[in-house]
Amino acid sequence: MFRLTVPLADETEAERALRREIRAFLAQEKAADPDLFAGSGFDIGFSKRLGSRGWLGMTIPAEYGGAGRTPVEQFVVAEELLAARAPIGAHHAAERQTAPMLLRFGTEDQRRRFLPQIAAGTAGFALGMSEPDSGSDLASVRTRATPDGDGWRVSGTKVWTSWADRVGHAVVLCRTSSEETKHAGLSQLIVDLRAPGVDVRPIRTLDGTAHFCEVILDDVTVPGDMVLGNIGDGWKQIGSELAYERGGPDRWLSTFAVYAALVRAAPDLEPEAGVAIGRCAAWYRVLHTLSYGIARAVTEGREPAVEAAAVKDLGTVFEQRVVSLAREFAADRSAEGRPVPAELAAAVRDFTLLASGYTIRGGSTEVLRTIVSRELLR
Amino acid sequence: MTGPDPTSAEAKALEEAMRRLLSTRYDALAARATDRGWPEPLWDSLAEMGVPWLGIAEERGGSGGGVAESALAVRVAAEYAAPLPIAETALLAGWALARAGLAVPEGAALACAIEPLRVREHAGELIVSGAVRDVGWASHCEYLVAVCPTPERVVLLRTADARIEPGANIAGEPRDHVTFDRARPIASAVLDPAVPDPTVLDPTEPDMAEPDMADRLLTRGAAARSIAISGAADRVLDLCVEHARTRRQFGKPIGAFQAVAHLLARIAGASVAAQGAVALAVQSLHSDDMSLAAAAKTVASEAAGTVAELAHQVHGAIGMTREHDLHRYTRRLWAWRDEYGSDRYWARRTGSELIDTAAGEPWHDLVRT
Repeated sequence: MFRLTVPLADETEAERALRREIRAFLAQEKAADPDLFAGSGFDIGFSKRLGSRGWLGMTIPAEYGGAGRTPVEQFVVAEELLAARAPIGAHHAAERQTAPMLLRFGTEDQRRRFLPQIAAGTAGFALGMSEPDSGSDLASVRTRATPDGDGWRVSGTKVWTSWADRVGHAVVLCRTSSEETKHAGLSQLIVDLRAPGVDVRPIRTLDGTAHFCEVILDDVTVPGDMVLGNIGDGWKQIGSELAYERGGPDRWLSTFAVYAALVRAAPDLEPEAGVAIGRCAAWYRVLHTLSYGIARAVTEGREPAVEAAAVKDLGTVFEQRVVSLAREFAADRSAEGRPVPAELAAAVRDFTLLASGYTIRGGSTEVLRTIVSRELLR
Repeated sequence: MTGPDPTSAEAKALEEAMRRLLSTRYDALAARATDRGWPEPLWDSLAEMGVPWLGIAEERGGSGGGVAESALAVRVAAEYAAPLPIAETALLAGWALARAGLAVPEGAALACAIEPLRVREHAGELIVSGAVRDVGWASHCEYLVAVCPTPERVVLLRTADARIEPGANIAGEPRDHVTFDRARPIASAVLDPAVPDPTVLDPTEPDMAEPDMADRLLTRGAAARSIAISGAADRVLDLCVEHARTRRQFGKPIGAFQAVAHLLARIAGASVAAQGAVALAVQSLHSDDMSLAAAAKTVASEAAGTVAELAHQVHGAIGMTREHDLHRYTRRLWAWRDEYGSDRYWARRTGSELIDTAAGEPWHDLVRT
């Protein structure tokens, strides 16, 4: 009978050495500018510094300006950046989604144009997927591209498009034909976000910040050479990449700042906090192992999509649990009329407002459980 | 390489042989075993394959192989709920004997006491006394291995020399209270901290102070139960999927209802978490790193609870009976999650250690370089 098997292996000495290097770099960065690690999460300067060290778009081959390293090595760097709450907003989507997509489906011209910039940290991408009426049911998107000479004219509205107000391009999923079945008529276009007809509006979220955007495309011209992959293959192309997106460390490290604050505050908290810290530590160690196993499977050329969905489910539920565990200790202090350590208070407040999103973005818990159970019952 | 390597030919052959054995007539035999029962023919067949002494060097009376093989044996045995002390013999008692330079009695099932016994010397002879609770399988084993302080030594005792009060965990596996009153060990050896443990490939703390064998046995027990939990959890997932496919209500298989399908997905998720715990448990057996075993047991024990709870929800009333196979696994998950330290026990120890050693970046204490 079907069994979810996550391949597991130890880190190599080379991978450990890479970890030491990136830790030293992050310590330097933090010493130079502590605010960088507690700000908006978007900093082009930081992305460029990463790029100049070869730590951005690491899996991009050298001929396209990358470092030609393995998904496991990229995983190691991503883990370190996320645990340190480094500002990765300017390059994260481009590195995780766009670069692999360009490598797999892009034209030679597209690769030569965009990949070196992604690896250098100079070109960010936004992901134009969800729409006001298309969330989990992504194939129902209504943004439409109609042929116009050699190119296309695109109209529609995209939402939850992270950092679309700060980056240059978006990969937009749109309908290029309504004659076929729902999944067949979709394509991906690379849209210049500064082109006439593009209107980007920030969407303010619970925490008061606005890294999400609404992108309104009103008869925007897209040149024919900006089609990503094949017309009509959009759904297939997206599906192949979602698998990689889900098993990564960004699915269980989002609230690490809360754990770190809890550990640092623990000497002042009741001893029971030690149990909460120990539970979190155990899950971090196991999720690290599982996520590493998925990166290794990808390195070996496998596509562990269902495993990745299961790990995202575990990881995102855990991210929320970290906040709720830490919250109790902060609340206890305040009920006793004693000051809550400032770092802990801020982390609990900030992440209480963010954490609900973790089980929604990148495939909701319900979608993931449907994917896993379908495979089980197949 | 410290994880169970699925590609190793020896490991594959062992797994297949064990599965052939356990999935045929012995599964029925184990299923019929009453509480506290001992399926002698199954023990004999596994003993013939050398399974209970895997990971113990041949010159010490073991079957050879490494931690990966013994861990695999524990996992596969758990997948079939084989009611036998494989982990106790191979990973605990047998390991302790080999660690002390003692030989494993040929063909013997071994019980292992975790809490130390008292020892004194009289006329050149050692005399051992003390009581230990909840010793796995003691009433079925001819021998029991224990540790005594100071100087720390490993002793091999005959269970015939003990007063044994039979007991059982909630899975019906023997967990006996054993009392020695001035018993003479048939073998003993003082542990020499200068002699490295031959099974530890990658000692994390080579300068570690005097080894505390009792704590190391507890840690190894936690690793062993984490591995067993994963085996049982995978079997429970299979039983749930099978039930969701075949049980029909409202005119369709219950798996067609999303509420039920999502229970299956959560069980699968918990079983994946337990598989991650196995990797850490095996690493801890290799490296003697207690923090890895602690993480493994914390997550495996939590996963055991999730799997058992949701599996019963999927199975409905039939799952509450002893007619159905489910109880063989869920009762073990409930028992094993608490044995050798519960999730809470190991979380508390881990937490206090992390708080004491916290040096700025908590992440660096979790993923070490």
